[in-house]
Amino acid sequence: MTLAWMFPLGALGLLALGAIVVLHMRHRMPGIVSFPQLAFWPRVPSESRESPRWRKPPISLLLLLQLLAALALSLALMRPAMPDVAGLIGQRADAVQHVIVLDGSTSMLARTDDGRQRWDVAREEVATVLDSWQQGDGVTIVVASGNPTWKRAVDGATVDDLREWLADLPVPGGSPDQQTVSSLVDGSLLPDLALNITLVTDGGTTMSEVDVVLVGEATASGGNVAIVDTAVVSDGGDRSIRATVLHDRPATETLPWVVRAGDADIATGTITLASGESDTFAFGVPDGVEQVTVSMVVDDALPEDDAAGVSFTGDTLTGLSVVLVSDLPGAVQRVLEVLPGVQVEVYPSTTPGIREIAAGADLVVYDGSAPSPDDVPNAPMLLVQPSDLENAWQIRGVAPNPEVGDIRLDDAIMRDVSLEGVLFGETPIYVLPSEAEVLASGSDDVTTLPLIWRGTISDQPYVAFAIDPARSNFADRVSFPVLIAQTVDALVGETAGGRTIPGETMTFDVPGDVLAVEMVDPDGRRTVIALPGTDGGAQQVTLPVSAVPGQWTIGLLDASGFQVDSGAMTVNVGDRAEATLSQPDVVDLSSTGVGSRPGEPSPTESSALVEIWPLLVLVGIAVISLEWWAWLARSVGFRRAPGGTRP
Amino acid sequence: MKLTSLARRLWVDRTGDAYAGDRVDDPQARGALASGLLPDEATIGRLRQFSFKHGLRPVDGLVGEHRSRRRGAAPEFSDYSPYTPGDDVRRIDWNAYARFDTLYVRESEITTELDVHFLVDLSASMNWSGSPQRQPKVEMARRVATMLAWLALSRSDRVTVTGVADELGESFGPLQGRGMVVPFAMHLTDCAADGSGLITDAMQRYARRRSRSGLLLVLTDLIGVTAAELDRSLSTLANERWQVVLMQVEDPTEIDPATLSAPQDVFELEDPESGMRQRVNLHPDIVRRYREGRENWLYELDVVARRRSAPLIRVATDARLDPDVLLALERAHVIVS
Repeated sequence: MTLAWMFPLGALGLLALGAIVVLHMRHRMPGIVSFPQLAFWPRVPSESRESPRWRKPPISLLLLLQLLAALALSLALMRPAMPDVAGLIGQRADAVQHVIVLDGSTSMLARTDDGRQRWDVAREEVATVLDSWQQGDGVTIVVASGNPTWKRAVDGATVDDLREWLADLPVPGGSPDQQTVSSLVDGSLLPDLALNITLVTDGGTTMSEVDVVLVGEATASGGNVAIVDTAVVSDGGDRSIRATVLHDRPATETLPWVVRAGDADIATGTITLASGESDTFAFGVPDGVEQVTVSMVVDDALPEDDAAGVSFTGDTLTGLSVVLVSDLPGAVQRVLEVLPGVQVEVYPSTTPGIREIAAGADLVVYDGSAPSPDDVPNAPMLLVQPSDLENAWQIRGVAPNPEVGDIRLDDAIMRDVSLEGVLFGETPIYVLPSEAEVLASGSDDVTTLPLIWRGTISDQPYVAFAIDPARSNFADRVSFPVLIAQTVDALVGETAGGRTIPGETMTFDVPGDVLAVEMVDPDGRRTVIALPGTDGGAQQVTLPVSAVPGQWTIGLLDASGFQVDSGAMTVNVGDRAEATLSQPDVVDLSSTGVGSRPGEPSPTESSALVEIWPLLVLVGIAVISLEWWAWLARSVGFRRAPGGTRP
Repeated sequence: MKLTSLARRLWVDRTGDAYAGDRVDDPQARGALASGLLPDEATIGRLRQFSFKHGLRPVDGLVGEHRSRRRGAAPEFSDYSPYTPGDDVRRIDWNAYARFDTLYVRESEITTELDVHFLVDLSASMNWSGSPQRQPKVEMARRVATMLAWLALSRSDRVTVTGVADELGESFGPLQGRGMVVPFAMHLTDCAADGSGLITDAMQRYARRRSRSGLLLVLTDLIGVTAAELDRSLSTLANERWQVVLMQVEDPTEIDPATLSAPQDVFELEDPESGMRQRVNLHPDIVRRYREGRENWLYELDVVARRRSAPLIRVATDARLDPDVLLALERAHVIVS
């Protein structure tokens, strides 16, 4: 237990102790008592009269009481404060608002050395804080995840509700959304209550000036192996899957992997990975297989990310809706249609009102054309060798056969995409606005031209290829579908194909007569979200996704509770940042001033420390009273009789 | 009765310092204070049963109530005695002569008064109390003297009171008659206890000053008096045919001084008479040695008093006149019922 001194200069008061001792060392003149018979008194020993001015400090009750009183008052002057006075006196005097920031990132799924999930240990720590709740306190739990949530309790009943909510809460997953967590904490503050913020984390998050409770060791539990990405590659009529494996273990290992379709293994293999390395392996998927599960056969700290599901079928509910504007659909259409869960609708470039047509679409793909300036869709766009677009780009000539130049391999779109040896053929030379970001460029003898770039049109993101798949051999290479898939992922996010990761939200449109959406996670945990309903039109639904891996089912319920439609989505836990347990990316939640209120001391100062100087003053007064009483009792013998005591 | 109540209230309200030789100039207050010395109704009722022991000392006088050994003409018949020549023929009982044919003379009992002398020690040590809740010794001496004066005056004895401060003071009296008890008490009130004279010397000087001996009641604390000095003084008074009664007034703190201070405290005792100081503490061993010395001194005084047939009665300042003091006087045969 730490003792803080709010006014250390008050230690000068301790000088009074020495002064008191010196005063007691002075020889005082003895009291004089009138007494009529001196004849029978023997004289006292002579040593009591030697050293007329000073004597050794007398160990008397009076001296001890005076020293005790001076000590108590001097300590009170220093204003001591203790962080847990409630533990001493059983009950706090002031109400406290407990804000518990609970790390709900995916890494909380990891196991501690004793085999327990970090999430369970963290919840026990939260329960400990809840145990300190007393009448008048407020408790707010903010779950820091990719999709932060919070819940508050202000009385005994709601605290019980809070416990039940916490007990049933799965790991939300994802990486903590710093800004949202900060705003939730700030928004949860109650006035007139001392603030006590506690961060319960596995080390993946941090906050300044708060109590931090660490659960699990970042480097413990033997490390982790995770499938952090999957991509569907369509090469002609063949489908294959490329899985990326992250190896966060101390030694180089050769690990087996297996691909299952239902109960049957359709592919197996091994992959050798060094510590901290990630690599991919690919395997073909037979026709007719609608869903596969890729798994690493390994025992590690985070088994949830050892497997990933890939679905080749989409559904109208959770699938990706793509509008393809093309006069000659070809390689682009083929690649789009093999992406998991993608529904492609093709329209000629002459179709008017693409903006309205694509109102509910997740992605609009222009193949050989570009939107008219007054008909820009309200959705992300992929443009393949687009025509001129005012205020966006202009074509200034053609490069006959450029060679590949710089490539931004660190970008998610260009990851694992190789352009070496690609014959681009005649390629337009685009002049881009300054805000456009070139991801790959090429050059001929005289000029440099962008091959792949991205930017925004009317606040909608786009990615554009200068390459014409029909005129180059790029469409025949594995990198092409990879590029398309990663571009789609980058533009529309992980909701593509009903495949998502924890901590994200999945948004889709449902008919207006749907009044509830039912989500059932792979553990059978059922969540029903009520909808207001609309007359005729569609309504948008946003569903949170927690870190429960596997196949989720989603049902749409009408007013009578009848399921009018259903869909499914696959939740893959694997995430490069969260899977790296040995050196997690620490998210600092305090950078936006979490928990601070203007004009108030820091949370630690205001809530954790309780000043105890009034207690010391009371002790001092009590001791002084006792000393007074002792002095009176001592002086009884000197009461003034006729000619009694004289100073 | 009202004066008595007022005096008692004054008594209760007074602090220890107020006893220190104060003089009250207001005559009414002095009277009230003096009447506070007077015994209460119950004590007076008890006193009526007592008188000073007759025969302690043959004295003269005609109005007293004490029976005398002298026989003579008086209304009170006592006995017959055979007639001898020279007897007063007027006292021959002729009826007895007719009956017995022998001359008998009627003997009558003559009552006499007693000369009662009070010698009150007014030294500064008498003006001392070990506790504010207790009266000084001189106050107790005044009350005892007033009570015994009432007893004497109610028996028509002649009472004289003399204070002994630095020197033997002027005597007040002789007083006779019950009504003189108030002047007696007022005189005692006027006497401040601030002297330092030795009581034994004063006793001898007093005896020499008086032409006629009597009963001498000495109220003192005997502080500073050695057994030898007391013996010499009592011997002198016995030779002068004085009957001496010593009433030693003492404070309980003198008997047990352990309550003066804490045992470890060193302090100085100051003699209120001489002003001399002595550094002491109240260690139990010191207190024990004090007690032993004092008891030896008292024992020696007792031996001397017993040898000189002078009753020595000790009166504590917290004692009650009735019955404590009366009982002690009766046991010492100073008063009889």
